[in-house]
Amino acid sequence: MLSAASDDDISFDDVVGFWLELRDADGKPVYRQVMVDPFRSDIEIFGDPKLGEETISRSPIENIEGHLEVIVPALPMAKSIVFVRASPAKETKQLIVKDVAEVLLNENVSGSVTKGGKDNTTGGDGNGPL
Amino acid sequence: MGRSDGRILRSTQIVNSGSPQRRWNLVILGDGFQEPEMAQFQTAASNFALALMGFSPFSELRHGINVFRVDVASTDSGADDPTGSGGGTGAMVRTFFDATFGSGGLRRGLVVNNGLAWEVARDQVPQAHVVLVVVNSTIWGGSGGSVYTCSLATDAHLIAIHEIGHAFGLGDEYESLIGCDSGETDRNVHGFTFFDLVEPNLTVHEELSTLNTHKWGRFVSRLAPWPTTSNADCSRCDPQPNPFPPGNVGLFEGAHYYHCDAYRPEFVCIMRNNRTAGSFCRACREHIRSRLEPFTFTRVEDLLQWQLVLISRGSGKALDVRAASGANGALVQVYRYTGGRNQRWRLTSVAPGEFRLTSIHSGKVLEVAEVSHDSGAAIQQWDWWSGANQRWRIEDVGEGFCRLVSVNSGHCLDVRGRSGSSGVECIQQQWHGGPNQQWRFSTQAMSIFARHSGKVLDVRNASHDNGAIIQQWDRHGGPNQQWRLEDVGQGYVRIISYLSNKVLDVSGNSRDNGAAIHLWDWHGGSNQQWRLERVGNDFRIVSRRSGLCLDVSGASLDSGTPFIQWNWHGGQHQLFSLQAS
Repeated sequence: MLSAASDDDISFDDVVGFWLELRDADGKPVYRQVMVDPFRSDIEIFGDPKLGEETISRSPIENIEGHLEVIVPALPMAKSIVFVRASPAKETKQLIVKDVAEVLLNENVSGSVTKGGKDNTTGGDGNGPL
Repeated sequence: MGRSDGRILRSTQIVNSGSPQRRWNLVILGDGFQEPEMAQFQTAASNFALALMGFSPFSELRHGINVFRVDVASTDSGADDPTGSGGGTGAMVRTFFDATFGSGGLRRGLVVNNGLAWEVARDQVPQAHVVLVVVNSTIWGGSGGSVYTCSLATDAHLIAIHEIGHAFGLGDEYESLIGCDSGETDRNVHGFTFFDLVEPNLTVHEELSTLNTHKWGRFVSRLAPWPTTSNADCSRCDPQPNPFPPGNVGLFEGAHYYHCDAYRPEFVCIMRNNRTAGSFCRACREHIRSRLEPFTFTRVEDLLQWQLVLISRGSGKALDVRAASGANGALVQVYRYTGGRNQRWRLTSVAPGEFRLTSIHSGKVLEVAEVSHDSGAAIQQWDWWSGANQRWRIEDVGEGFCRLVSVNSGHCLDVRGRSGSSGVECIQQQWHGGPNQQWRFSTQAMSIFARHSGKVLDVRNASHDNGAIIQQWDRHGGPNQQWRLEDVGQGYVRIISYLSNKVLDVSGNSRDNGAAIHLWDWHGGSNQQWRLERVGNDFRIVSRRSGLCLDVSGASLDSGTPFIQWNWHGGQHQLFSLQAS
């Protein structure tokens, strides 16, 4: 099966958000997709248009649990899938880029999940929640 | 709860755009439908598919999308509706995917067992990309996550379409977190202004240069104020109505859960609000289109409607029935392109993954002589008798080229001796990857008609020069009005003038609206590559470089009007039909 195209037109430098990367043996990204952060602690709530409600909002949820499914191309040079979160440290005006999970790919394109992987911090101390 | 509360009945493909291996596949599951209610689910699934396929950009990309319906019967009807979440009845029912209202403490938060939904979807459609569960309840509700849900309430499908937007990485464009009427006080000004947002439809920067590089700058309306709208009171959501006509792209303040200092591309977008007449904004549409590009490639099955010319990579010459013979056993060779009927072939699918190539001139098919398994065996034409030596697999080898593999022998169509000369015969040979075994599909010469004027694409003054202007003109059938489309890979073609062999090119490698279209020598740049996308019975012709469309300047009806590139807006002067010359 095919997977969606890499987000090659998007800048991943100095941005806040969440995305996944396929990385080669040197750690260089070879495929990237912007994602909604799957670890969000809220749910979207939609207004009912027939009641004149057009707004969308979010409501907090207590237990974050569920199932994450991602589809990526089987690139021969890809060695791992990494989920990356970049978030700002407001007080220091620094960007914290954190590998929140990593799936190592073997020949069968499956692997183990490592949570809280290494941090790539643009300034700052690299600490941040998963 | 779960699998024990029902059973899977069947799966049905309700939108079929081709092999699921090559398409983006949406799987719709039902929950809370008992077996006698299954027709209701089937109608709801069909209605959702219709709604999605009518929703831009999916409406233009439907040839890349499949939709499957999986009928799942539940023991009970409906969904759990717990009390304590604002009006719940307290109903608890046994359904296959455990649908329940009340997630997030609000009744309309409708969720299911996501893991089980994916498990069933994968069982039924291994190539599933997105899963939607339609729940048998008329209570308004739905949600996102790894599986999307919506109820049967009127317009609840909009919830799922918004969530599908998230599947493509689009961000929320609404300007409040818990609601504009909530009295929230921590959402006045976006705090991330030192860094931008990664989502393609959101920004915290006001600089047009930044937007031009990474976001939606190239779609911005030239006359739009900057920022296009500003919120005068950051303590609340901006109450002003849209001051511009719908579809105006600019910088609208209020987005990403903040009243101020965050911007969205248009006033209205389904990523901002749940409006029944809504749509995805331009930036969202273009991003979805970009993500779905691999599923909408021009592939072999898309070429079936044309008479084709096969061009050898090694020599640039065309596959040709020697001496334009009509006889069985006539040898097949390569020869310089003449446009003759003995160089045109019809590709027909004869079995999954197998094709025959029929000569337009003779009506006979390409085959390996004597049903041979040997390397070096001759290639000839013969009456179709459905032999394995007359069947070919067409396999992509990259860069717009393919190999033709005999089903009988497993050997490839090959030009003997790797010769570049006209008149050299073809043989079958074991695959070695040489350019004499690689072929490019090209269409026969065609006229390209502008829908609004009925005039055709024409090289001004029949010029052979680089920079020759492309204009519309009444059709007279001259070589300066004839074009061939050649597959250059990844869904793009080059559009070649029959007159000069130069190609359609966006001047100055421009990404701007209004850039002129002219002829130039082929150099392989993205400004010379075009994607033909079906819009009804017509095509729009999109530049790979800019994402902008071929457009008759000013929608003029006059002969001599030049072609330019422009934002797609659906005008008749951006639509074209192709007709064999």
